Amino acid sequence: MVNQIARRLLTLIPVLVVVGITTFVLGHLTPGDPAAVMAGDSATPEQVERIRHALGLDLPLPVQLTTWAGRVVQGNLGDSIFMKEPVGQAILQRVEPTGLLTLLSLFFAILIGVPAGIIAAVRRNSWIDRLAMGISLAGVCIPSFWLGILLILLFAVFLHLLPAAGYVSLSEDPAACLRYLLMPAFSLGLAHAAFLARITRSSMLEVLHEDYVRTARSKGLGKTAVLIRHAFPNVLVPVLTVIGNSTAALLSGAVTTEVVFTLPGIGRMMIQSIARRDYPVIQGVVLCVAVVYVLVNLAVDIAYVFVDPRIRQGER
Amino acid sequence: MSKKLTRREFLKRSAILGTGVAGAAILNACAPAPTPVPPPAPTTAPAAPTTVPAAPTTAPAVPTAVPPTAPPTAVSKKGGTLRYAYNGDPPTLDVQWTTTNVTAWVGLHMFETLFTYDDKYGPIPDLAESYQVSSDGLKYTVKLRKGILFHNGKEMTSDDVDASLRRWGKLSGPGKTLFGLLDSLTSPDKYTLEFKLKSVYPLFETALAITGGQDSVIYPAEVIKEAGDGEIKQFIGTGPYKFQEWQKDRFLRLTRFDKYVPHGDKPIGYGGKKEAFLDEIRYIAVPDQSTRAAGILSGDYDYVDEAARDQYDQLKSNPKVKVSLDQTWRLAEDIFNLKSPVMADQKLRQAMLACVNCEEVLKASQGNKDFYRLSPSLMLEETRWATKAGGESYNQNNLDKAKQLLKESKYSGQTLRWMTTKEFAGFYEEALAASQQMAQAGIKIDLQVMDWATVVKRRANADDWDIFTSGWGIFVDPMLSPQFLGTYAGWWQTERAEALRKKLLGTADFKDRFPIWEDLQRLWYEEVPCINPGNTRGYRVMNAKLNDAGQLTVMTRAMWNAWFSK
Repeated sequence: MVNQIARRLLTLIPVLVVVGITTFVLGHLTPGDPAAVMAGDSATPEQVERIRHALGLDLPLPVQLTTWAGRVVQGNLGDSIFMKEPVGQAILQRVEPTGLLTLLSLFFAILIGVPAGIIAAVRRNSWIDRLAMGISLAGVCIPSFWLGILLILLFAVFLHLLPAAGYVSLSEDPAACLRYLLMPAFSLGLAHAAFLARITRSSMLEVLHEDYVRTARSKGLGKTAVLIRHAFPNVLVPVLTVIGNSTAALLSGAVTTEVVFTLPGIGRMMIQSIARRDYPVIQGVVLCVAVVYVLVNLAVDIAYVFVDPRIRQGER
Repeated sequence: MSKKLTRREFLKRSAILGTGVAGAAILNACAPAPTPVPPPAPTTAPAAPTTVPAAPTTAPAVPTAVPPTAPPTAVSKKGGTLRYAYNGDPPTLDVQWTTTNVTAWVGLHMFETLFTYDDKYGPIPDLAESYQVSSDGLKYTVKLRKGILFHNGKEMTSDDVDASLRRWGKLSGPGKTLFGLLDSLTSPDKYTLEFKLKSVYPLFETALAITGGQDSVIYPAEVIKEAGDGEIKQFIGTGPYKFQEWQKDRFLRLTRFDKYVPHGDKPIGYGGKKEAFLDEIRYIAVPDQSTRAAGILSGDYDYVDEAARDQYDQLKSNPKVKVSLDQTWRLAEDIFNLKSPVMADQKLRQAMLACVNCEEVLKASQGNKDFYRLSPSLMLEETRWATKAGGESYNQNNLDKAKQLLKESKYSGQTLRWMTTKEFAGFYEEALAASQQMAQAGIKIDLQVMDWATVVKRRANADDWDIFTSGWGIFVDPMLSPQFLGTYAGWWQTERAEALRKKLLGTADFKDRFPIWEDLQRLWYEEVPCINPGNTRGYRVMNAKLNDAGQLTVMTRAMWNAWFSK
């Protein structure tokens, strides 16, 4: 197991090299100039050039790439052109809102998606099944930002139960932090719950037709016991895969949700940086996202080992 | 024998515990929020010492007689935090560094300039107490107000003004122009500056006033020295509010500067007496328009500008908020690239101008009639430069004439590349409507929609486009506008235009300059470097208890003199 983990971590190196070079090249080749954005609309070409020079953007691209790569190898992601702070620091400051949003969204996704999928599978072709799958289809199709705006109208504008947008740090006020995250987490969680429900249902349907489930029932075990002790554990592998994908996607920053709810997370920072062509932030965030995806996939693979005894025995 | 905790049991107990904790947290979070604390009890604003600005001994180039802005009729109150939701953080708070408007909107609460504007955009002293102009117009002697303190407690002197202006002169376009004409800048004493010019410059006061971007604000000399060739590292000014805190992408806080020295005893346009009634102005970056509108209705924000047009009627009818249209307008423009081989054809441009039905174009881009008006004047009607000269060519809506002009032109069916964006309200719709009108005359348009950063990049290269959509705020003098100066993308640099510009820049008095400006506007309608469908404006939404907020919406969103009622 340790060797496998070490091998997987080593794969990070080629991943980061490819992702880093691709992001750098694509970013710099895309039309747009951070110096022009910073200088403003009325700026003369000389003023823009002055800022380009101050930022080192007038150096040849290979020089900029090797300078940036050299810094990254030393753990320095560079400084944001617009925020005037180290990219690493900017990312760390935004990890909390994105991380908490991820956790809470996953909570809603699992709380809604897994039971819905199980019930739909058990009551296959009944009205419950059709209702659950209809809602999950809606969850997949409805844009999360639109749902977010509706939630804001309902809970903030009409009912005054929750704030419309914004964020308070967990350390400042945990209750207020939760209040600000409830709506965005629910709107995001519902979208992921939809996927989870569908995967859970289809996996559960396969498992419920297996011989060992029939055997368990014929031995006299109750339906619930069969479901929870025999069927559900065998569904965990695909469910964990979806949860892993959702986790990685959420940790990369739920862009539209963070913009609609004005959460100072990684996704919102990324979209603003793209609009402003803040190259160091774009490159830094993409590298971090690549790391997140590799680590989350590794965590899911490790979880498989605990969840599926066959994998453990296969190792021995 | 100890009972071993099985995996199943562990998962079961964890699920129960987690659900219980989460449920309790959610119930707590959904509890109604505590009642907000009302603003503090009213206090009478202390009577500040006033200094009446002395009239200049030589008539300045901008004679205006303007009634002062009426003071609030209710009792002014100190206190409260204004939560201002805006589109996004400025790139920097160094007002001298960038032309972006939002930097000035925020920065002009902290920093001030030697001059500012009255209600009719005539320059008046602000940090200057008075000034004299020599009879030949080549020497300006500016007296500074005494006892003006920076936020760090230091008194402002001519050394600070000298250092600030020299830096601004290197960084900004109008600054380079002024310093290019300067023979010398000296400080005979710590409250006086002498500017000796090589030639008459009618824009002296205007250039040293606020413009809404890259203004000649005054910093302490040591802050300038510390900055070197880069941006300033400390935001220290003389304004009624001082910098407190900035958490990027979250909020930017300005707090009242208690030692601020107001100028005069009543507000006058952008100057006169500025009072900081609010304890704090908190700028909150809220990129989504719908969220800004929802936030003001839910009570999370107190002031929102650039709200969505389609929410105007809904917000107007809500008693919790006040909605007011911007007092100042913007010029909508579709700018031609005169360096493009096909657009260099004047007959083609005249044909395109003849096609346009301005009412339809503005209606498409703005929707509600409250947000647009037809106007042939290139300088907004609120300025003294407004004129209808050449206006017979405005809003022609004449397809037959357009087709005739097209026949006379060299146009042979080429597809014109028109850049626009959806990032700014109305730009895309304006381009779409106008291009469809031109298509009826047989002009082929390729409408290219892209983000603004790409538009800015591509328009710098004359080979990449033929037309692009833009918009301008107010300029108090046509020669402050890069577009009328010919330096902006589009490059209206014909011989006749250059000759008129030179004449305009070399003439001192407004009464002599205005006819030259009229000639330049007539030339504009003849040479057609651009199509201007008309004027547009937005609206602001604010807490019903907020008063006198953001009324000066051109160079800034002025929150000085804003106050909360009970």
